[in-house]
Amino acid sequence: MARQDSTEQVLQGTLDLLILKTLSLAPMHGWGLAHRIQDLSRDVFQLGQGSIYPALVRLEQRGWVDTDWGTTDNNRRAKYYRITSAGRKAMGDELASWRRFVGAMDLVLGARA
Amino acid sequence: MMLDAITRMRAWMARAGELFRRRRLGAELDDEIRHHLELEIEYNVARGMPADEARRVALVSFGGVQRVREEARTARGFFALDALVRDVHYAWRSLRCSPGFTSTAVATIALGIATVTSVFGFVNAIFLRPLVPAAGDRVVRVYFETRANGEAMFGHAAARDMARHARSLELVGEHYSTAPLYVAANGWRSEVQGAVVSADYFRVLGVSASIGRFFAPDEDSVPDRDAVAIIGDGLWRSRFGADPGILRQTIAINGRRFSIIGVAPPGFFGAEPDRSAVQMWIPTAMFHVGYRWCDALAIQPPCTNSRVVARLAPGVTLASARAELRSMQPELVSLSDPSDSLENVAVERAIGFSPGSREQYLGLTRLLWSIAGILLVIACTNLAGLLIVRGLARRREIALRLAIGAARLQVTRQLVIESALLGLLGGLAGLALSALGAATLASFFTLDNEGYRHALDVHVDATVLEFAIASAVVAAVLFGTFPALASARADLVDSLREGARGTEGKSRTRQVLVAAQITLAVILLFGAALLSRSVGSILSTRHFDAEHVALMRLRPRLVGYEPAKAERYLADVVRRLEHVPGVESVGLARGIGLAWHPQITRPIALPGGIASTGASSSDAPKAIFTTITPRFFSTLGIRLTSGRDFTEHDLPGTPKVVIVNEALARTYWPGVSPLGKTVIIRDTSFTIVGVAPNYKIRVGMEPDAPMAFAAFWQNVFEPEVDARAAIRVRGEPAAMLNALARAAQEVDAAVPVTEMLPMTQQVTATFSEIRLARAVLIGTGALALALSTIGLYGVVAFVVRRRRREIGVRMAIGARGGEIVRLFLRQNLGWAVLGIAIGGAGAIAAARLISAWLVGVSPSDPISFAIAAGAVLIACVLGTLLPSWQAGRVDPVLALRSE
Repeated sequence: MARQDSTEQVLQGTLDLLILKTLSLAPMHGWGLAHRIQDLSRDVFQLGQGSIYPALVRLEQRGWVDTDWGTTDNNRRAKYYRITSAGRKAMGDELASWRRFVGAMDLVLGARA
Repeated sequence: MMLDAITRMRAWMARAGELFRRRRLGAELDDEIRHHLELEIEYNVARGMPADEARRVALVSFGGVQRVREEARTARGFFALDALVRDVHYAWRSLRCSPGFTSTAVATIALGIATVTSVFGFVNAIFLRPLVPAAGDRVVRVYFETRANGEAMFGHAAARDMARHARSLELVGEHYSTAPLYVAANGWRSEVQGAVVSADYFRVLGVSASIGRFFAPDEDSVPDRDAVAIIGDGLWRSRFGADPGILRQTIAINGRRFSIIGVAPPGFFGAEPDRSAVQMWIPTAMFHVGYRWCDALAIQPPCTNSRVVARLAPGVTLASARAELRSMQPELVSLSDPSDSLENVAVERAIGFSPGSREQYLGLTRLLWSIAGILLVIACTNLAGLLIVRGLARRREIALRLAIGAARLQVTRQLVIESALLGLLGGLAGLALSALGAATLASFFTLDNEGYRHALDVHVDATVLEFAIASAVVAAVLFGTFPALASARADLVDSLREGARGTEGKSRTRQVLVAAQITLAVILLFGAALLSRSVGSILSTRHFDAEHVALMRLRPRLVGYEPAKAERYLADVVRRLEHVPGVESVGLARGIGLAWHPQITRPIALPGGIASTGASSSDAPKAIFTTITPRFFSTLGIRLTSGRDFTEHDLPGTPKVVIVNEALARTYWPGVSPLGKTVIIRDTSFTIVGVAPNYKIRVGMEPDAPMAFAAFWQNVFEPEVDARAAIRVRGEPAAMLNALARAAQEVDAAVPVTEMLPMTQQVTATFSEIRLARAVLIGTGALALALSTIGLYGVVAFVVRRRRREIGVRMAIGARGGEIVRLFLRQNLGWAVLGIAIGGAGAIAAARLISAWLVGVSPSDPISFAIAAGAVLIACVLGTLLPSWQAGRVDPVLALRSE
């Protein structure tokens, strides 16, 4: 993965959450998903676009996302991913634990001597 | 049903394999990546990059196509597989950690599986295995269904007609596979089990000659022209010294010269190895050589002993072949023997034995299945017991795993995998053992009571392999997982806190299991005892002495002797045999007097009584009838109860005389001597000159069946040409057979002398079914006993371990070792007695299965029951004494400190 100075690598284990959250907004295909994550993070996250595919396979295996074949705007066949209800529930859990994690990090890092 | 299950299992395995075929999904991912890159390039171009720059940037931001592919495959494929590998690995480790448990469990499964698989191997050979495995289901048997024995043969002309005209049959192999071929070649003479076959027979069976060739169609077209023969590999090795130049030799078959043109491959015994393991083949154009009732053209009605194996034409179904042959039925019937009450022409896949033979094995097969099933249940119960104990021991471990968050499903899966692994190991071990077991079962049938060989091929094929592994794994998972789960399904906190105490309920379950085992063991042992007593009573009450008697069959008819010539020949042979050193006496019987086959019966009446001939002759009283020479009885060690034996003076022209057995005498002259009375047998009057004891001639025959013996040389009814000889010798009859055959051949070397064997061997072979059932019951009974003892030992050892503390306390307050032993003994004997009581009732019900083989013993024989119960009780005492004796030696201080 190319490391660039002004961007952040996606934290280990958070990619799933990012994908679930992004898919919860709208079903989309892989390329759209990669760009959407970058856009939403205002290009802070520079993920290797390919890395979303193994993650999508994993999420599909757990039944958190589902796929359909559809046609893109310019009439090409593409695989569309959409979040399942199990996926939404999982996203809720992950989100909560992420918030706790961030909160705890803030508390520790904000502590004064 | 069994076949269904196997088919389903195969389909399931194929589907499981497909799950791992990931190519389609891989291609989808490639499409997706390509699509992604195209979009990204377009996007970059739209932002103003030149084309190859746009492409480079797109690839960089994607970040390594190959790696993505691999990661995706890992995520997909190994998600399930990985976990499985991990679980198997874990299971393997945990089994290796307790070698005692593992080896006992594997041995238990192996014994159970070896028993059922041996029986399955036997059943497979009789009922399931395709005659030509390589040909799939294209090979069929064609035969006439009959009301009487299920299967009738075609006339040679009918089989030819079928070969020529049936379009649904691509190849028709005609064969008569029980042809007595009397062969003389370079210095030896002997009967060879032969077959008369058509040229296409070998092609249907898919074999090719290992030396030379098989019959050309031309050699099987003109009657009595081409005297050519094929010999079997075994015969080639034993009689021709594996001579590679065999094809130049000529041999005499039933007095006719033949040239050898080919050698069949090793292990090939023809189309009906169960009826006869054939080692010599001649073409149907020479039918009259192989079967005396056929003329050279082989078209007369008596020449009806052709069976048919055929290959269906491509695309033809069984149903359409059947329909076509039914349409040919009138011709086929007219070219066969219509007096056989032929029904429909049947076409069926050539699997297992031919329909007539299969029928004979049904009863035995049912019995063997039941026995094997019982043993498997005992083994499974033992396994369940073992796993309960193991489950208890692992309660803590399982509770711990659940507590730290393992899903219940995961734990269950782990237990299932562990059981399956045990099953697999046990199944493989059982399979290895079963090869031995199946061969032992088959060995009871390789030699029949006429001395002919049968080939019963019980080698382990794919079907047997699948059966063994599948039944082992299913049994292990069923009986292994539930007990383990049940004992693990305890309250978590409870199990963790109190460790492995509080297990009274579980040892009660185990005791019930052991009682169930004892019940089943009693059933098997009772059967074993019944059959042993039956065999004993058959041997002791047959009233004749088979030791030191040699048998042979003299067959002048095979070489076309007229009755007068045959009679001179037979008389000469008797005289010659009597002078062989070591021979004590010689007796002849006509027909089938000694082969213990169904006997000829004749209507019997008294003077002045109702004539026994006429229409309703089936209701008329009948007696088993045969003709014998003087000294026949003394040769068999039978002493007449009264009157005299036949003499050389009982000849044609002298008054017709008869010897009757006691049963006949008692029926017609109760309490009076029948000597001198007249009896009418088939319209001919005889004077009774002697009374013989009842002696058993075959199993299942009512002990008191009336019998009448006429004088051989008086020729009272139609003249017979062949005869069987019984020869009493000093010493071993087996060692005398060659000298006896030589003596007969000195009289006339052309006459076949066949079926030479010691009489004891005939007796043994006649009772092969009973002996087999007895051997199996004794074997499985002993195994059941051993398994129950191990089970009992396990329970007691387990309880002793759990109650160590209590025992320690008892000892500390003054109990003696003996009292501890008595405590356990009292408990276990209670269960044993319960098991024996239930088992006894079950055994008497189950004895119906073998009632046909019980001679001189009642199906509820108390002595057999006592033997079975005694054996079980002894096993119980042994299984209890050892561990509880160890308990009695517990050092109280150590025991109390151990917790």
